Amino acid sequence: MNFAFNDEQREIQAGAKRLMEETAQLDRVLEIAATPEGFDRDDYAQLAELGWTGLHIPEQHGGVGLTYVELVVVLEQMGMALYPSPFFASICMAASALIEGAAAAPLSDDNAALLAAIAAGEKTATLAYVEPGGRYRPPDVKLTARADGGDFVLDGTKSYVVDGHTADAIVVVARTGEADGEIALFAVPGDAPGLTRSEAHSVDQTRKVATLEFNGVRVPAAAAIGEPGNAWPTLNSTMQLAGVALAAESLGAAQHCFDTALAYTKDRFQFGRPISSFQAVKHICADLLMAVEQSRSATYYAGWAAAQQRDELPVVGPLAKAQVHDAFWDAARANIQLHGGIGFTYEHEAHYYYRRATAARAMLGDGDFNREMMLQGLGLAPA
Amino acid sequence: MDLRDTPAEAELRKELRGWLEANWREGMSQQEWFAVLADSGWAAPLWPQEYGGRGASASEAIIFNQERQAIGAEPPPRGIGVPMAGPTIIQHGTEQQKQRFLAPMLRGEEVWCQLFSEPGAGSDLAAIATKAERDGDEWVINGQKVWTTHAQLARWGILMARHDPSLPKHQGITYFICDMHAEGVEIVPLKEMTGEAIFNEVFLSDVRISDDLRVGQLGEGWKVSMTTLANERMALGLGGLGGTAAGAPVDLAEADAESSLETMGKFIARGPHALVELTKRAGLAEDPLTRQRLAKVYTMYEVNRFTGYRITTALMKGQGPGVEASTGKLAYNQLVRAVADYLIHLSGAGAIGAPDDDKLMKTAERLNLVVPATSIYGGTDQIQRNIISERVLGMPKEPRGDAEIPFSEIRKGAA
Repeated sequence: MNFAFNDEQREIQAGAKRLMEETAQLDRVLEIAATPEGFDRDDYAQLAELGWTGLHIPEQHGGVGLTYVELVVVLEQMGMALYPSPFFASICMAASALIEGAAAAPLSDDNAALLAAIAAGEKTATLAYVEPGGRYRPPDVKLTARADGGDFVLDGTKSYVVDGHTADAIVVVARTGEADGEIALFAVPGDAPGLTRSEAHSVDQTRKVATLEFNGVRVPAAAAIGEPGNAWPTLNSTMQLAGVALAAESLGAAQHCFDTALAYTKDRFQFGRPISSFQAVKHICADLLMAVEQSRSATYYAGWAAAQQRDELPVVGPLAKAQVHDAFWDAARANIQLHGGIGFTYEHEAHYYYRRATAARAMLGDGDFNREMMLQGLGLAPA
Repeated sequence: MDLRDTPAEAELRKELRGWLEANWREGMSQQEWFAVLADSGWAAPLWPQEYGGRGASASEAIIFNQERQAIGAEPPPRGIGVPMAGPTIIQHGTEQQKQRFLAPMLRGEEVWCQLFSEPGAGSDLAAIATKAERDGDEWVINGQKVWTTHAQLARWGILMARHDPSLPKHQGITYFICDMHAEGVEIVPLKEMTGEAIFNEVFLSDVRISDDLRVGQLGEGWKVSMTTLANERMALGLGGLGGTAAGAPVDLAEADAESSLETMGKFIARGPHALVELTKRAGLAEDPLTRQRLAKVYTMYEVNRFTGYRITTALMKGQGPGVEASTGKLAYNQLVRAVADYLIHLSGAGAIGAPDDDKLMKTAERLNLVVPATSIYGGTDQIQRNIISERVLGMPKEPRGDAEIPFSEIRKGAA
């Protein structure tokens, strides 16, 4: 048994840490996040050069062919820095949807080319699932895909689409029939006629979301990923994988909150001594350490399951998503609390992490939702 | 990262499984099995060979333990002896003590108990007041100890006593081995809130202990006791997270265990699938509130299991466990509280009073009554948090008023 990173994984980790130190200091992060695109294209090209955009994508699809564990390693460092990048949307959602879809039905030439371009970092993409109601459940998919000749015509609205305003391609979740499971996934070009995209408000300033209006967007049948009308399993496993990825990012962010708070308690003097000497403060830190380390265990295990032990993914994927975001939320709040008044100022960095925690917790379903998914993964059917 | 066996581990696993299958048989007496384990060194595989261990690597010990559990063989002697007194004697004891005490300890022939806590020294263990006064080659012990498990069965006790109250509190303590059959040792069962009496009070009145039974130097008792307590924290934190396979029958035989603590240990060791089974049986598997609660407890089990893999990996590589191990006891306590509470939930109004013939409700009742003990014994949750924050996170100790002055001048007890 070896539940630790191997040499190659540690090298990737060190590389990611270095890159974040060089390119993702908070002032630069905020500067980039304030641009209309919300990311830096040269930075993204650098990720591609390092091979990270293709890390977990199989070689036959143009990727590097490593595993989800390596992806987790990189994401953790990115999350620690609140790194603004379409990496999560493109690699951890859209690419995974294409890979998962390929397991259900061979990819069309167009989709295969798209996946290769994502792997090479030449194109970015995202997944558009949730709609204005904000729920990740089958009945809440209202955007319709109507068969018309050899094509499908898409009508409806997608909300909170991560980096949706800049993505070159959108993997959109659409409804093909009345029954819950009658779902299809299509890869739609970002500039498709009938598609209107606008940046939407997010409480998290370091990750952009968009609203996408589909008005009679026509796509060929070859745009379908997986089996049209029966793509629920493809979407499900994509969501599980994306949940693990988001957990990895948030693990890094939670660790950062904890490290920052702990360091501050040692510097801050009140009543003539460092506040880190008060048991009321120490106990908060001990509990946070436990929560963060448990999150680390869950994330790494889920990453390993995603790579090697896929039958456990439906349980441990949502488990990690829920566990890590509970801990991140606790850590982000405690970071503010332990800083006291200064932690509540706009000038202090703590609120950026608190904002990220708020958004990441809600993204891909909150804790209760993911715990419910986990039980269904265990075979416990809901009422 | 790969949780599967390496080829070498798989080979070792096969070999150890073969040995276990050849040596363990269902229905053999505990005494016979303990003897087999002691003779082969598997009673304490990590101990040096010369003291009855195998000098085994951590990965051998871990794989042996996994295979032992897999075939349902009983564990080696536990309690205070092998897990705590043994390592302390090996590290700090004299050669004579090692030769005298370790072998019968490993065979389970001599039970050990711990004479540390006192009515006035709980979390503040260094406040012990039991006196050790020198008389020639002997020490005369007077005082009262409490929370002593198995005192009535024990042949020997590890004892902390104060040999010099004029020294600051941590410096005046010496560590002894106490003969529990000696004159002046009086054992009084202590009835706990469960209604059971698994602990005792031990009164020591002019008990004479030969200086040969001193462990470590005079005044080193605090340091020696740290070895004992570190081993205790480790044992409590790694507490049996086994697990039943999904769908396996859950008989709840532990509802009738001799002590509630045993009921708890055995139930927790069943793992989270037992909770899934019991939820279905209670007809609550579709209830949304129950589902959320179940998922939360299930998650606690699993994160502890995953953290256990990290600790195991570190040990197998010959490294000390990292920060993830420091929170083991807190995490285990969090889990047992949640499990007890969940079983109460499944019991419904049965929690008012469990019928004798309902094993689920009885298990719930017993766990619920015993669970307050877990966050107290072996160092309270609050003391654990102090230890974690000070030793792992490098946070400073609170200023204190008792460390530098003579023990005899410290204000003690309730006002």
